[in-house]
Amino acid sequence: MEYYLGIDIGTSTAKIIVINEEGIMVNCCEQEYQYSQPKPGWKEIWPEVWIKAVKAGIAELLSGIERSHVRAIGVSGQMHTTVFLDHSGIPIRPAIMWNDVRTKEYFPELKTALVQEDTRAISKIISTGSPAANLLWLKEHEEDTFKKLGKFLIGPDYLVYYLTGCYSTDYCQASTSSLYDTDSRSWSRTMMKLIGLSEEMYPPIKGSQEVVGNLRMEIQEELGLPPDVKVIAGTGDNCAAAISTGSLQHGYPVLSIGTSGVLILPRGKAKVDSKGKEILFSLDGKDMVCMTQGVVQSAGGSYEWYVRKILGINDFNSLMTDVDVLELGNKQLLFYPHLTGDKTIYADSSLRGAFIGLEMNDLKEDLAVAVMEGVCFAVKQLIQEMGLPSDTLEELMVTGGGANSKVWMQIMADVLNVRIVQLDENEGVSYGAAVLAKNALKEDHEINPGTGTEVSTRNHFEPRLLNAERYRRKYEQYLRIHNAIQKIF
Amino acid sequence: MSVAGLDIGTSECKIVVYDLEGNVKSACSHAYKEEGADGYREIDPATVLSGVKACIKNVSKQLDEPIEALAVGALGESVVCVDRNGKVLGKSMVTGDKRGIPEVEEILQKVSREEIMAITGIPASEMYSLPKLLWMNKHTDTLRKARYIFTYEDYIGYYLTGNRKISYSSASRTMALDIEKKVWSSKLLEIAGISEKQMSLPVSAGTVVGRVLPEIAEELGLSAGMQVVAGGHDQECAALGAGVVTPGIGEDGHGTCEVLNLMLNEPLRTSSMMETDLACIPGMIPGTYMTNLEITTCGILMNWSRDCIFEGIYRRCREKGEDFFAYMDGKTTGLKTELLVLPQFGSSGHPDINYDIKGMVWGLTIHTKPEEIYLAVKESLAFQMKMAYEYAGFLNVDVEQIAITGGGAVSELTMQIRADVFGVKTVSLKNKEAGTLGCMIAAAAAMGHYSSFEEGVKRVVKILQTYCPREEWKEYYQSKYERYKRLYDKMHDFI
Repeated sequence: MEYYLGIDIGTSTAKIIVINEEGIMVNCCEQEYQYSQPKPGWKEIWPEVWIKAVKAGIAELLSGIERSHVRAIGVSGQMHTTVFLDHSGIPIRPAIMWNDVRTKEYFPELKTALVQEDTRAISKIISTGSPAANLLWLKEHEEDTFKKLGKFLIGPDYLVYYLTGCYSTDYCQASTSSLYDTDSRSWSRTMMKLIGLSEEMYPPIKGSQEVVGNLRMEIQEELGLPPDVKVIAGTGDNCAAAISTGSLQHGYPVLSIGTSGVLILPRGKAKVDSKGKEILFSLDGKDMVCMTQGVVQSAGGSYEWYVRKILGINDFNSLMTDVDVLELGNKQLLFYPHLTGDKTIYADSSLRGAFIGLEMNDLKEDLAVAVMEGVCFAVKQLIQEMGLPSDTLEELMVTGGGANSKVWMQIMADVLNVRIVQLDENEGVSYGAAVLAKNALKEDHEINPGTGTEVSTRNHFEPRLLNAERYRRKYEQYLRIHNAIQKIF
Repeated sequence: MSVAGLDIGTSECKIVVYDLEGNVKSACSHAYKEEGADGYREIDPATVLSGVKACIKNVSKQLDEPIEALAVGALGESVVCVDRNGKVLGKSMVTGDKRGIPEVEEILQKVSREEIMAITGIPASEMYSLPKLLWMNKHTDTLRKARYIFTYEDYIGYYLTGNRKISYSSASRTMALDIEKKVWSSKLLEIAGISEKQMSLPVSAGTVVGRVLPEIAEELGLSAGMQVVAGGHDQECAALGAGVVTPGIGEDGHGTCEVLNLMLNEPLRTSSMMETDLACIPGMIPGTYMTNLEITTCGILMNWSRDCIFEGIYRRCREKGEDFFAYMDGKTTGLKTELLVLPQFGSSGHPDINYDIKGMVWGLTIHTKPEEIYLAVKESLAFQMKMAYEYAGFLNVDVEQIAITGGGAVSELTMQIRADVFGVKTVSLKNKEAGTLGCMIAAAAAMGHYSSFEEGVKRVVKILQTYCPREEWKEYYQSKYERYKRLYDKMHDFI
């Protein structure tokens, strides 16, 4: 029996998993931590917090298995979060996180300034929380700290460094950092100059399955692990998730309905110009594939807001018990779901949500259905803007908490007019990281359907002609909302 | 001294007996249900009458001094037809009944909208009696069989005294009174096949209708000498009972709907009035004229929000024995919200009376709390009424103070929001029943206890609390109101 560890450094939770050589999960655990918000909109965390959590988690997991059989560790987690190290690799201040918005003062001017030749692609994706914005902020607001900067790392890459003593990042993190030129496939010199960085500050970019180094001796001893445990470069959570859902290997799009709705579209080797975040991924550092990611910022988050915060109900499903599925799409009530702004389509954080078309005979259940419909309409618009040809799409894989709602998934099927297939949940990101670690040692450097275990499915939902037609008309109404309310605030 | 006001509404009748200072001596009310389906909305005159009788009997038993005089204030537009044998024919249509819509067009073929406005002060619509009477004439034989055609005000007066007199304000709501000459317009009555003989004599409010019939007095426990006095349409009675004696004071009644009653400077019957669906109704005070601005979804919207989105909170309040609205008002202390609501959930009033329109809640974020939505709904009613008032700017009525009555007056939050948004003082009144108080003033004046209605108002209409607009909120509400208007512009007919 051989074991591989997968680690997911999330926003407020670290998830760690142990799999065996067949890719079957043996054990997993979670460790929670808190990030700090010293000022409104600021979100930061000392990297040491992750380390403590990971060590505690690994100790817990290893107590049940034969430690000497652990072969490799794969790390994944939040993207963009920027870690600042001095020349000796010590953090010089807390990391600025992906969801920090202190840099919103730079927008939209920064985007406009970057719409020049070689930074046009970057101008489309740069946002608050990106390494580029965070580093720029450091230079302009914490000059003394910036002078001490020796190296920056991105999120979980810090853990790789801590475990091995070697700096690295992968193509997923690099390509989405807003510091990288996806055309020339190298760090952007323009951004380097703009922010005032030097080449030495950049981590080397590795293939996600490349071994960065062995586990440091001190850590080996501390955790009771054998020598020769390899640590791979790993990848960002979007890519690790895409592996765990089979999206990357099988080439199908996957929609995840969690707090946000995330759509991953694997593009293979094709370069596509569409809305959405372009992510590069490479196992070996040579062969590159693309995927596009689009987000409905507030998906499950919208539903949870309505049911928990407004209605004060804890049981999500209780509202849906009396919904007549045949009548779906009949009501004119609309919900505009952008409760936290929108990045992918409109890049507008000032967007707000709305209920439109309210009448006295509307019940709280009707509003709940409207919320679900609104999120589905936003997903439909996202799919269109990302250039996914929905008429050739036969089915869409869906995962995440929202996928558990039968009513929601039926609405999704009717709105998108496509079969919805609910994926069986596995451990997600940490599982993807563990699979990469396992395959790294087997020198299995091809992304093929065999990567990871068989992805299994649960419920299927077919679109129904009558309801799909109702929703087609309702969607036309939905699209008009954005322009109608543009300038109210 | 006991003087009474009797109010006949769409869902209940109510009698309140006062002394001459406006203190309540005795009161009784009796509810009845609306009937009908498929667009028909009716009440049954027999049910109303038995409710009135029960109320009068009840208070008569409790009083130390018998009622000296009584005036009736009643809902408008609904008619009661009585045949030669004194039998009531059929039921009464109430506001919202869909019958009469094509009949408006028929009437307009014969008399232009402008002429109707000039004669009656009414902007022609199916809301008033004449189109409904025309429907009755076409589809039933009620009008041909009817010896007398009443509104509820003169029907009760007839029942009590055997005489047939109707106040100008109630008469005008039939859309058949010549408000200048103060007589029926035969031209208009004819269109519905009605003769003047079938109608009661239009008189000024405060005119004695007659003495109560002896057998009725005995049956109901009334004194044989009780006088019935002409009251008015319920809105005009409420306006008087709230102290509207000059154009500078408004009365804003918060019930199922919200109605802002304003006194005009003159009997305006212009095209602007017509365009904005504003009627010119003779007021209770002789020589005065009133108009009203309406929001169709006031109390009914607050109740919807309580029963729909705030249902969980409402349940928890009931469990703790707390009043839901008081609780939610409390949660909004010091709260400011960016939310905007369009309150037209299914229907809207001025400036665009519409029965096929829907509402909206805009500005939601993941942080939005229930109390923000609650506050935004209350603000939306204030903004909508302010907007309706601005559209009617041609009225040239400068309101300096608004008396708020009904459910709204119970909430300090509502009172203060209205003061801040309207930019004028709002007052709540000691006497909660402005309608019956207005009737009582007319009855007492007819008996000579007050030299004028104005004197009566001075004696009995007392302010409970005054709310002044707060300087520090002025700019905030001004800019929010501007946003409200923009939202209304873009979205009020989106669906």
